[in-house]
Amino acid sequence: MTKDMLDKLSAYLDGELDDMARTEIELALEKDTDLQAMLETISSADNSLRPAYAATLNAPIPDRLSKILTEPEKTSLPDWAGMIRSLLRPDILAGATAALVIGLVAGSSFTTTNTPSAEGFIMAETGEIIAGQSLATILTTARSGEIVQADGHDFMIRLSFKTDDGKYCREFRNQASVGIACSNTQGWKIETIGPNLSPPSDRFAMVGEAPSEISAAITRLGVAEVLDIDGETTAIHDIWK
Amino acid sequence: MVGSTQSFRIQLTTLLPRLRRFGHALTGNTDDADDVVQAALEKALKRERQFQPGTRLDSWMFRIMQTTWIDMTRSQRVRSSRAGTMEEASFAVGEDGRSSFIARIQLSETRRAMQAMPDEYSAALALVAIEGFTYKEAAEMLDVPIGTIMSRVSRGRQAIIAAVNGKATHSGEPS
Repeated sequence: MTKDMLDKLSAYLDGELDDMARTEIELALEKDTDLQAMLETISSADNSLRPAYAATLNAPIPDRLSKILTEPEKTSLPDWAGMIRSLLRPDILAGATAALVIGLVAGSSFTTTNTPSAEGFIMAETGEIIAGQSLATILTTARSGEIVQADGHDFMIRLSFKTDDGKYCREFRNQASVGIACSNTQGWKIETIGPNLSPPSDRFAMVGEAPSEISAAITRLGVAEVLDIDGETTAIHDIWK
Repeated sequence: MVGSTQSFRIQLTTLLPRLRRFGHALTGNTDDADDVVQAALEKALKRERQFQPGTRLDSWMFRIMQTTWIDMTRSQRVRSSRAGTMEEASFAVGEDGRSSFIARIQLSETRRAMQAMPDEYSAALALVAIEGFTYKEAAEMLDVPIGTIMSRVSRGRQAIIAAVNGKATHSGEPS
């Protein structure tokens, strides 16, 4: 049997022949028992192909694969340029305010306090609100995209940038809250904080619409430079000085 | 784009069983298959913007897997063992021992034949005969003419037939 005929039988089995070629094969099949036998043989190859890989199809998915799709990326930085562009949209700018919102969020680990606290904020003598010990440690040492546990909550740094007047700032979030803190001589000053209104599945998303408080604060502070991986590494090494 | 939307991830999750099956057919073993799937998922998440909504995500992913596998074999980042690692644990249900034994051999020989044939043949055969794509779709995924797919699928089937019939004859079954 010629290679051409074998190819046509195979294509006939797959329903891939045009009308003329299909008719030609069907007429030949009516007369030729060898051809009929070959068609059956070719068909039998397919009968063993799908079962040969059925066990793989039905096997449990290994954790290493499912985790890629269920966990936020931990090793890469977000699309900085795109994020900043979206944050600086005119409609966001128009509604921006420089409000400092503290303690809005029920269930948050952040609490307003006048005394040093491991899990809340500290009211400095200057009247500034600065991050407590746990949050300050995360702001100082965590890389963007990394999920860090503290005080029973997951925290993530979403963005690091340098302001027009040379301050380092970072956007942080946990399940309930989002905020921006900037490094100063006393630690990390909380520039703004608000509720994390994203759906639970997106609360640690690296891209997407930022809450208005965050957009306003970024606008107010002025972004001179968004840090890339190298810039962030250097800043962590230099303790954000 | 580094981040990816939740819906995109959910769609990829639903594809995982088929991606693993295609990977197994492509590589010859489940360990390499999972390496290919993992690398392809990571690429897909980074390239989500390149995926055009309204087109088939499975086609897009299979194409990424195919190129990933080519890259891995070129750089020889594949595991040394090429033996299949998945057993047909439930295949014998309802069958007598002899037919079950023959069937197991046939499946094993089928996988062995897929593994032995050139990658471009096994990829074409897997896409058409296992995953159910048309020749046109497979041609687009593998970036070859439709006639090439037709020829590769046919050659692949002949290789499977030769392997299975050879083993069946060896086991006392008529070929």
